[in-house]
Amino acid sequence: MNCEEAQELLDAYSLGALEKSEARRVAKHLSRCPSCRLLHEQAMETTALLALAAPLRRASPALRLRLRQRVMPRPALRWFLAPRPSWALAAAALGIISIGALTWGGLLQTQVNNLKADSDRYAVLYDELQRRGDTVDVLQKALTEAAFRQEDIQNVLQEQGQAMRVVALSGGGSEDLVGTAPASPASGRYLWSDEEKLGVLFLINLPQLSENGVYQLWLLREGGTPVSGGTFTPQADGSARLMVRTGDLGGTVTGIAITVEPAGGSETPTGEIILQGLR
Amino acid sequence: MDYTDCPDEELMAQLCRQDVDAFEALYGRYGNVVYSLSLRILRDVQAAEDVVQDVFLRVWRKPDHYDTTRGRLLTWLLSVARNRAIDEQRSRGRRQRFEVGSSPLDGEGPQGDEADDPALAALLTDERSAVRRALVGLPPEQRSAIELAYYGGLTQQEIARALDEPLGTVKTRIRLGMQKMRGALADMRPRHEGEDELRGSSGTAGRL
Repeated sequence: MNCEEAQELLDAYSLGALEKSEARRVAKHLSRCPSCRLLHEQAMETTALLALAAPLRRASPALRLRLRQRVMPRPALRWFLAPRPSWALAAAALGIISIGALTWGGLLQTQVNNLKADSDRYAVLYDELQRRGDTVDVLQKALTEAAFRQEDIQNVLQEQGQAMRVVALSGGGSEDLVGTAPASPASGRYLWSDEEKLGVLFLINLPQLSENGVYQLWLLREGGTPVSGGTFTPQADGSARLMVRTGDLGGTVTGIAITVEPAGGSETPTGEIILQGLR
Repeated sequence: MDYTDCPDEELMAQLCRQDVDAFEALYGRYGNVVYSLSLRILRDVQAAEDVVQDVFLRVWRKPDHYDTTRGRLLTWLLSVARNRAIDEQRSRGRRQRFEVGSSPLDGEGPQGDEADDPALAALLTDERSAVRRALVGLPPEQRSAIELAYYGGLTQQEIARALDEPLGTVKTRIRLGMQKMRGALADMRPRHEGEDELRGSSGTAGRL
């Protein structure tokens, strides 16, 4: 191939548009013809500029990061790629590595043991905390119960105080009660105070009732229906105490009686009279 | 170190000393142009990114492969990228090569991402508009033949087959088209000693 033939093909050659056999012949000519080589370089410059006609696009930032990672120096890798040591050195290094591995293994075992000890300690602490938590729960319950009991005691004290006033104050009265046949050992006393508008009932030797029954106090009036003075159940020793708010009823009451009624009490007496007043 | 205003030659000298900052500056300067070319040829973002990565890692590993006396760094990078992209395209099968789409010059005004990216648009603005002007100034059949060769990676014979034209016609179109391009872009090329005598070129000296 002479210069004229080669120059005819240089543009297509720079575009990579020649068939392989043709391209080889051009390359062969260029390798020994400096002036055609210069022309080829010019053609290559022009060809390369064609790239600038492509629409400009932004490459993703990820690509830049990938490239940066690829070119950043990696000391560890460099160390591995360092010139090979001699066999003696390599053997020595292996020895050191083996000892290192043993030491490392020992270190790891120590760490595992330490972790186990820590773990055991934490388990003990956890149990202790759990126990303390339980104790706190128990204390909480006890406190609650104590609070209720205190309320009960206060109520009892208040009732006792009221009862004392009923007993001590003048302007009232009292009525003894005796048991009828079904509860003949039972007896008691009803006291009232017009000033306090209260009545207090004290009873002993009451028979225990089934779960479905209660004792109910009735205030009897001349020519009127009995009025409920409240229901009650006896203590374990058969005693009972009841506070009655009589209101303005006090003066009209002509007598009292106690019946057994279904749980919750009744509007009017339905059961048999168990105790009655001796007025 | 900041290489923002550093000339290409100095950048390459630093690259020979494995200066990571110089490499980043080089990528910042030409990464998008190389990517745009690769994407235009391959029409596949992943494949185009792979080409860009190959090209720049090649520069990083063998910066001395670039000969400063033989042209601009940019044109060298673009040549390397173009060859790499065409190789990739060929390895994907010859059928795909004939699916040459629209010309990169189709449509009016700025294309690609530069419309909404002033920094990107400012990149090589004068050179890009000069190339586009030169290419648009060609008769359509010459332009088409050159684009099929450059972006499509087709040989003259393949172009003739694709366009159903005689091979001689295609050869002439490419030769004439490239001659006109060379004349239009003469100002952008570095001058070589004795060039005027060889080509009889009347282009003015100097480069952008």
